[in-house]
Amino acid sequence: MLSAQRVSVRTAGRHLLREVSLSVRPGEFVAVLGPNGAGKSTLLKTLVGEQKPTHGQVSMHGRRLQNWHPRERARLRAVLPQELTLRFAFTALEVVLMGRMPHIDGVETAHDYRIARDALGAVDALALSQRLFPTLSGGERQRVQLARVLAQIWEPTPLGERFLLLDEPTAALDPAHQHATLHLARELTRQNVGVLAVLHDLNLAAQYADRVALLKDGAIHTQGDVYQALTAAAINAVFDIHVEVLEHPTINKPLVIYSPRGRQDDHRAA
Amino acid sequence: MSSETASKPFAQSPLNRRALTLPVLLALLALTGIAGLGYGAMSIPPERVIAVLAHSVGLSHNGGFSEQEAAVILHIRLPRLILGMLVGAALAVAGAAMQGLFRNPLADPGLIGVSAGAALGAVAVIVLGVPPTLGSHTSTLLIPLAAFVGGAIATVVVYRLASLGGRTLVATMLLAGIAVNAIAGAGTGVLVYLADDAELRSVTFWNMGSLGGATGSSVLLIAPLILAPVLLLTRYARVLNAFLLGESEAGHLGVDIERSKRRIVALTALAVGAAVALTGIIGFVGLVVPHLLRMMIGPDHRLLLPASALLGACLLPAADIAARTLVAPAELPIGIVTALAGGPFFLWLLLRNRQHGGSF
Repeated sequence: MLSAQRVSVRTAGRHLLREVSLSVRPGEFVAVLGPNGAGKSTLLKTLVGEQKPTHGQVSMHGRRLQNWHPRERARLRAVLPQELTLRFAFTALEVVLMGRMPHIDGVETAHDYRIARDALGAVDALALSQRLFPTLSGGERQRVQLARVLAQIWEPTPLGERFLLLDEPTAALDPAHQHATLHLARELTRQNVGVLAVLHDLNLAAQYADRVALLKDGAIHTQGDVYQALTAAAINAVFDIHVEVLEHPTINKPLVIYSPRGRQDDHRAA
Repeated sequence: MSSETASKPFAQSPLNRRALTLPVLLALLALTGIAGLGYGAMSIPPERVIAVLAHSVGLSHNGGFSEQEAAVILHIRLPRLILGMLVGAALAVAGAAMQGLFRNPLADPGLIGVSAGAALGAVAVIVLGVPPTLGSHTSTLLIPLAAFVGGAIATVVVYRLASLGGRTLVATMLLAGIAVNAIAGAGTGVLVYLADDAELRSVTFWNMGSLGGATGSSVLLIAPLILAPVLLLTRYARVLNAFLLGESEAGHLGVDIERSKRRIVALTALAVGAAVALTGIIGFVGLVVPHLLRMMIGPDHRLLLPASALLGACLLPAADIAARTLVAPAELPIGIVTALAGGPFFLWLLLRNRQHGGSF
């Protein structure tokens, strides 16, 4: 389990996070939602050890994050950044092979190449493998980066169950690839990988997540399964928008729709 | 697409080119060596250069060369050639490492303040002189020492400024480097203002670089100080690759970021400091060599670092041949040659790069 216990982060007198407790269990998909500046990225950085909490602690499989050797830590958890600028002319395949870095000491073996190509295949980017990364489009880059982090945790390790953390993985993607990416993350949970994704789209979260945490002003406002967390009242309180939450017509999940009527009421009241 | 067809292009030209890189550069290095030992005021043909070398290491006992040729090669040109190779390798590897660490292909080993600090140290000794108690003959030793110490101090200052608050910010390091370079430059300027004509001439020549100070003993002294950091830097090749993705990403891939940064900067400062101490400032090698290689073999530091060392070791002795022969019997400062050749070449790279969409 990857868990933050009563974590606070304070910089320059501002609380970026206050007393946040959140955990990701193996095989579970957790979505973190919240308005801009709510602390989603800070929470993700804290969970991976990039940001040291001012108070509280983060542990992975019961061991505090700072007590893990950086390399062992990297063998069982991978992080997809929001965006990544790489101006040097690596091929897509070379970028994906970098995901194997925590597992090997010298040169990549045929096994690493196979994993890299499988990972590229999994994100529908095998055809890009010889393209130079800086020449790819935003969405293509995002998929190649996803392949890199998949290659990093491709195989089970004796160190414990694996975790995948995604910071807005769908931001640069077209709808088909948005669903393909989250579907892939969902598939990984079947291999007992714990997934945490920062998302902006309420309905993507509703469809793919097991649990949702709504973050506002650095604190968790609501946390629970999709029906518990994605209520009209909670969404209104966190995002300051009016929505209706319906039943999705074909799957057993909530469907959030923006409600202009609520907005008109607001105008009238003003 | 099956994985077989996807893997095929990789097995063709780029891989072959990569596999050939180091053998080709080694051959080039051997040719540079023979040329460097043969060219000069007294021209010695390659077969006699080889005969002298073979004789000196005990591989052959028949002569085929004159005593004078042997003396020129072994006592005058060989130390100078080896110094050129060492310094060229150091500057090129240091440049590649800095470009990787700063994720900026325009970075130069001088960015961390080491060159400007070294210049300040050297100029201070040249202008303020050697304390009379030490005797004037110590200045040949004291100038490199002061340069080395000056470079080290400047690097430590830059690194400390960038590390305030626990984390070393690479962007701050860049800016602190610029500031420390300016301050050291101002210090050098004050000293130059105070200098008399003879000192001024020494300062000017130090700032343009020269391999003329090479002697057998000075090369032996400097060789480990350059070779050790250069070899150790090649061990950080994969770490530098990861740094190109970004510092956070390198951390997520299991790199101990702070320790790696500290060591890469320290090794770079050591290599450049030792190189500059004996030769003065030689520009453009550290900037151009990794750049040129990246265009030919790609940005993977596992090949880029050793290839940079070899190409740097070829280029600086080649520039020295030009410096010695272009205006013979006089000698051009080698820094002028590298800047004259490197400047236009670098402009060409920049323009070419703009046409190719800005990736490196």
